[in-house]
Amino acid sequence: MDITLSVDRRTLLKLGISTGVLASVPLAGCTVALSTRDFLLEFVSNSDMPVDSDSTGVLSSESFEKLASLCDYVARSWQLPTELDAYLGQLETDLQLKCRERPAYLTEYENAVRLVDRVRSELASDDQSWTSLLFAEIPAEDLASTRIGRARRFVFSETIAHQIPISGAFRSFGLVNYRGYFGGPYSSAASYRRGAV
Amino acid sequence: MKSIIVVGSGVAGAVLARQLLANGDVQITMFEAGPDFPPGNRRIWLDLLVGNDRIYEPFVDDPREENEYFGLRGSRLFMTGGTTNHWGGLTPRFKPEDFELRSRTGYGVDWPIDYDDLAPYYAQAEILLGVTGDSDNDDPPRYGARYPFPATAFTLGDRVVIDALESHGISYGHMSIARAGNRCITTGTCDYCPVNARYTALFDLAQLQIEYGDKLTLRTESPVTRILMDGKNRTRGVEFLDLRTGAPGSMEAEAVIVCAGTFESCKLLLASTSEDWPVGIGNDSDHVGRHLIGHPVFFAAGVRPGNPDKIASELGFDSLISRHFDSPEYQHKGKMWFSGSAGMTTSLEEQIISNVSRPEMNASLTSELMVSLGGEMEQFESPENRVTLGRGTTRHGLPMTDIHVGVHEINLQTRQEHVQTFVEILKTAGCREDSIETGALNPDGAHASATCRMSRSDANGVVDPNLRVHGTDNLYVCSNAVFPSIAAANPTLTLAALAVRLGEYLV
Repeated sequence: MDITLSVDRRTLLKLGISTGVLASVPLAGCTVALSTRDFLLEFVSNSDMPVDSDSTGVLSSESFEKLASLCDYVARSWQLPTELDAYLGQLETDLQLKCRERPAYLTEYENAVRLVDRVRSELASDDQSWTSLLFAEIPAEDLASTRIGRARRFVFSETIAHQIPISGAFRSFGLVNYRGYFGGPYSSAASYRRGAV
Repeated sequence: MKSIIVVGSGVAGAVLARQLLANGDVQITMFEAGPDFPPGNRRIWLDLLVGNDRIYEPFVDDPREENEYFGLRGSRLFMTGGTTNHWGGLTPRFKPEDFELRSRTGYGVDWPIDYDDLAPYYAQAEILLGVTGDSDNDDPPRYGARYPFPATAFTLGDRVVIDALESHGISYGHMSIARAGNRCITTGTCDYCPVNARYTALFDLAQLQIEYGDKLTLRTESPVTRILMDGKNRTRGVEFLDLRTGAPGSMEAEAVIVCAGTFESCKLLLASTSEDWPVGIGNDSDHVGRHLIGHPVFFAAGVRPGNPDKIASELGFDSLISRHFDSPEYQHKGKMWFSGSAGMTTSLEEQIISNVSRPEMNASLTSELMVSLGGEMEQFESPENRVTLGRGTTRHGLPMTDIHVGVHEINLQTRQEHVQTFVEILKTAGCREDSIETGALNPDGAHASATCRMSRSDANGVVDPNLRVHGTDNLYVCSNAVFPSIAAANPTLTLAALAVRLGEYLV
């Protein structure tokens, strides 16, 4: 599914190729406008903290819905449970908490929503959009600092790391407990699997 | 009412404060250099859950404090509750022979108290810290004392290690852990417990403030910079710095108890010079800051083919311990204990983020299993291993730390032998030989000890068997700093037992 962008725009320009031939580029198998790719690779920050981490606030319902659609994509693509209503309620509570308290994620979330909107506007489906946003190969030196790199780190990866335990999705792999899942009292037989010793 | 100043809000300070408040008419002011921190907070827990390990960054050592051998950054925390905010909660007792190191091996010194002196206080400390364990295991002797909570059962992952241990004839048992059995809900995120099940001095102090109101005053962001003396023998209080305002201050009290850990406790004594104590309080025989020891740690991990039971790490703490090599027979070489378990080689979320397909994930779950072992060993003291005052001030308002280290050769040899034992266990557990990786780390600040060691006379140490600084009437140190030797076991339960004992002595 992935296509490696082995030659980036800067390299091509150094080789004397005009921007006219670079009207579009492949992005994880999908084609987006060059301007979109530049937007994704735009420098934001090298900080290990969320940008504008003092800017607290409320994430709009519309923005939350767009980010939450990632969970639906992950659930369908990895054959996890797709009944997510209860889980999404907890996800919204937790994302709002991370917008309300410092270090605040509000700006990172809003930036991620802009990426989702931009890529979605050029591709045929939500799935294509999420595939591109999650898996398009990015030059390693840019990963931490670009719009797409920061969205992957602070928003998409963290959301998936939240979904697997909190939604109980790990159970579909035959596991009984998982890091982050409230398995219950360890005196309870259901909280984890014990060895026969 | 007796006024007492406690310097430091970690486990020693909290346990001691509880003892004093419960049994005496006291007014305690506790100074903490670091800031406050909320216990059982969902936001902090969420950050930890999704892999952000920066939650403790504001509280770790100043970057300028790092040194080549005895790592400080990340091993201790400057905040209410101190290092208990990120500790593993492992609470084995020392063993009887650990108190007789010199007599049995010729290394180091003996403790001026023995195991039986401390045994009743171990039992009280296990209750205060909410320890789980196997009450029928009498090594070391329990004299009938029951753990407050039953032992955590072995997991399927433990079973893989246990099978290998039994093949080698290596004994094992249940790990004792300060994780209240009636609160733990097995989230596996024990670095920051969302429900305050793992003992933290932070939560303990919050409860004490509710129970005893203004009898306990906690002053955070207030590093103590000097102990004030009236003449040679009596302390009258402390000087401190208010980091919020930058203003210095002082407070008087009838007793001062330094519970500031191995590094800060000795540094505070060294910094408190006067005409009567020209090289620091209790330092006339030049033992303050010397004899620094810690726990060298080592580990090994390997991958074995096949995981038909889909064994995963379903708990966030160790439930298995082997103290086979933590015994008198190994004492002259450097005792050690170790733990181990088995689990998946990568997490589910990492595989999804790496675009591994579901069929590939299913296959990876059953195709291989990672088996890991980790242990720590006793280090023998050397007077050349020493802490002194550095130049300048840390971001927490404390003097910089200079550490001077020489390594005891026998420890390095023994460590290599222990690592080789791990390799043999992993091979027996079915790990591919080419998959086994080993590693070792020098001691760090987490278990550091002995810089104000306990002794019968001031010629050999800094505090007496009641933890009072030699040559003073009302100044005490309650910290790993007073340990004459470190044993192989984690030090926190022994420190808590000493704090209970000191609390009883003072009231």
